[in-house]
Amino acid sequence: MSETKEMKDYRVESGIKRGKEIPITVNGKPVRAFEGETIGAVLAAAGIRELRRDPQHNDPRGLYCCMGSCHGCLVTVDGRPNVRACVTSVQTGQNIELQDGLGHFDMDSPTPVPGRWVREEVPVAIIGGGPAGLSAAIAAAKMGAQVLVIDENLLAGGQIYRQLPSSYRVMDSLVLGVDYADGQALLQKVDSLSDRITIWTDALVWSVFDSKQLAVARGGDLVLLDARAIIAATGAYERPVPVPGWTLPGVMTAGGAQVLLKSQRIRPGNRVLLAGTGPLQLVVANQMLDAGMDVVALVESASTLSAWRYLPDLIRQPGLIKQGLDYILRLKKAGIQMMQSYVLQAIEGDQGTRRAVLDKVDAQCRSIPGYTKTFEVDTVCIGYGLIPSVWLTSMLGCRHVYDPMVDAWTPYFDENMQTDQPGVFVAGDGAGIAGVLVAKREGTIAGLYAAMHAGNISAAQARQAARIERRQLNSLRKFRYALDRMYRVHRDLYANISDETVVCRCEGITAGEIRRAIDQGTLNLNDIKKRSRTGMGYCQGTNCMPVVAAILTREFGAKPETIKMMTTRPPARPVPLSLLMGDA
Amino acid sequence: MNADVIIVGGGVIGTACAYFLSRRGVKVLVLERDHLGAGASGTTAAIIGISGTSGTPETLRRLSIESFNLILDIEQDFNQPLEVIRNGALHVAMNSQEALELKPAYDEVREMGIDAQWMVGADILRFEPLLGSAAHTAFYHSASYHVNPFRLYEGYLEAALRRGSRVQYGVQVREIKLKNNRIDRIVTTNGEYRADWVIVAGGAWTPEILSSLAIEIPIVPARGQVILTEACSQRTHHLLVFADHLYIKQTASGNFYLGSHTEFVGFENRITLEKIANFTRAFTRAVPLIARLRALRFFAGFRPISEDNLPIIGPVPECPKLIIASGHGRTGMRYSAATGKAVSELIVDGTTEHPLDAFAVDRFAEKL
Repeated sequence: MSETKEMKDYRVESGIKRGKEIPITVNGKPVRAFEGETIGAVLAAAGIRELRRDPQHNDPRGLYCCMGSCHGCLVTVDGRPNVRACVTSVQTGQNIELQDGLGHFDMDSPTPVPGRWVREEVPVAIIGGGPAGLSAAIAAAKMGAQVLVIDENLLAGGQIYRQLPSSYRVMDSLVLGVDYADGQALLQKVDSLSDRITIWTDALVWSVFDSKQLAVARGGDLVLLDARAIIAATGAYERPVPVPGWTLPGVMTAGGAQVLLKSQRIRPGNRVLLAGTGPLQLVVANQMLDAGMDVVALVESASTLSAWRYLPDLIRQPGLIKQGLDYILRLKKAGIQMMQSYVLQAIEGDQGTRRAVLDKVDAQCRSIPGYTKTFEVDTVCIGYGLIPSVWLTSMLGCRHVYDPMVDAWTPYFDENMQTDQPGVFVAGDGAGIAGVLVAKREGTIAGLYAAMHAGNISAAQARQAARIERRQLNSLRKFRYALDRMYRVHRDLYANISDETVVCRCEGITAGEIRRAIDQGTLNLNDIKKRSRTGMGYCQGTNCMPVVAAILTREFGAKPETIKMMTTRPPARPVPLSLLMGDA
Repeated sequence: MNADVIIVGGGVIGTACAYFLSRRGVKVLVLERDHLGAGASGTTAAIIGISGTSGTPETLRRLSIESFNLILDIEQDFNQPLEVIRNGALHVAMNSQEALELKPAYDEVREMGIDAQWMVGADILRFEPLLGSAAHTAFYHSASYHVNPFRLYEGYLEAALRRGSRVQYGVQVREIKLKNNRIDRIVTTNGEYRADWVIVAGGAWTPEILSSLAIEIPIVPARGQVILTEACSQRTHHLLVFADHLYIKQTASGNFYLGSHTEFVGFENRITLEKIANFTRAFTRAVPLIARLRALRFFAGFRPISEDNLPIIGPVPECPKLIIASGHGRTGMRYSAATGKAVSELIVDGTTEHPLDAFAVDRFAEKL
């Protein structure tokens, strides 16, 4: 019997020392919390999985994306409801209440302070402080540009380079893994350019006014930012693949589980099954092993046999191949069941147990009857690849194209990472899923040309400085392309969405309701939204529209490239109206 | 393609015409260039009231009273509920000047025999706890309700389709060709159509649809910017109406819909910070809860506003079988049922009991 199963506290103590313990209560009872932890982390550490009941069906919800997008984790904090637990730091003396249905605003709690309006100008504004954004900042700053990096997270670094709260002390950085070290190295470079690079964290670009002015919500202020060049390095989010039970607490995205592990040092559960596709799963499973979790199975929808077909392109990056093989070897050694050509069919369960039901599939992801397998776990992580976050480029009026390899819309960009809007650049996974190595190089190129656009360097200087990056980029992109084909998401992955399955997590809209809306109307996403309410909630449709698009193509014969993107309306994420109350 | 009646425009007016014609046994074809409710109908609060603004012309008031009752009646003919929230409207003045302006509307409502109640000071808060202490004077009347706008036009159309009517999406009318004062054919992006009657219910796009006929229809788009908030458990069942055309309705799902001024900026549907900030300041002063809520969505729609703010309903002089039903401004939902019924009578009976003279197409020509 392993030690982990008995532990009531899900904190991982190796390698770090947390900040000081602070008193807080959850539903009136004291719960352990440490300075720097998010409310979501505190609840997860205490084993509190069910954070609320949704207002539509009274279904239990918990942490899902852990990135502030899905709004599954809403709690009431000191009388203020609908607070995202996953991205809100815990504070001394807070009383956190789990929500039952619609949130209630305590009118006796302090009145929100009207937002102060601040007008700022900056030569280069970069939205997103991940590897792409930070690389862009470094490149532009080195060319003499003043740069402002805006990140909605509590810390810069992005998803892969998640950093630890400043109140944590790192005792042994080796324990934290190679990504942590790489992130530290990148942040140190940024630090050395601190006279030219400013970073705003916990700051959200929520709208674009007058075609190019960025509206930023920052610490209660409304900053109206004019920039000569804008780089959108907004990253990506997990592809939603609904199955019955995917809204249950204890079911998370692979990326969400990573957030808890990497930036909070908290185990998302004890006994976990990972289902999905692609190399990220291997990384997450390894991180879970490091954290002392019991990884029961790693389920891959693709068949690895297909890998050989893409070997020539894969071999261009031997380092990456070796890294992947190392991950696999380690998982095999640990005795983890590695299943290929299996997909998650449903998640069942009550109380703490989750039963993951898996089906064997063929090369097109079609179920082969008679091979169903079931696993009992407490946590299920779903990771079917990533979708670029394009809300910012949409609001900036950039042209988007449907990318069949990513099966999503991506902003159009030229060889200098500039979109069709002059002065608007993109880099990293927000421009198309390609991983950290590509993101850094794209970021560098975007940074150089943004500096050129801002008037710091000439076109010839930018071209010269970008030369090496371009060459590396080509080889890396080929590698990535091979991976994409290997782990291609087939439409039949979406075959398990029964009519009762919830597709729109925010509004509790089922696939049946969406199908009915399509039947009665058109293949237009805006039409489907109005008819069914799907996409009308907190997450602005990010987590349901890819699914609706898949339903449209798979079941209604729509061609993906002819489906129009849903109209992007501000705000990118819900913003407090008190922000607008201040004076201009 | 042929039909007895072709309706151009799948908004609430077009679908209401389809509904009432279908009820009279006429099979219509609705041509919509985008999807249902893609114009003003999809970006509105759907407040169905009888009055509330003084100086409403008698003919318009009759239209509104009839519509008010009709919509409640025909809900049972629809296959999904309209999400009717029927608790009347509270008109609120925030200062003494606004209170003065409230009085004529109050008197008018009372004259019509509608239940109404005048309130000052603390009585207002007792009546509507969501209002803050800044509310100066208010009056309540029962003759107002609101519905889910999407369900209304979907309901009209669905009931029409059930009776044999048809709809085609993605079909844009390029030209309506007349011959000897009759409709010859309708040229569209999907080929040519023939029909005895054509109803143009294109909202703000009506002038564009008729442009080839050299018929001047004085309708312009008026942008209305709207704020939609997150839902919460606190509720008001009243429609809250303030000075300057601002109002708050809470939807069946608990979100607050905050609307709206009209701006004449052409077909420009961008949100402006100045406007939404102005709204927010006004709304939070009246309803302090709003300051605590988050905005889920800002959006804008184009209300079709005619030169004299009255709808345009009736045949064009050049062609008696070409009917215009548009220009309902901010109140298309409210007048939809009566408009649809009147148009159906014009076509089926050749005449209607509704006094439509004030809405005649040629009224603008006469002025010249």
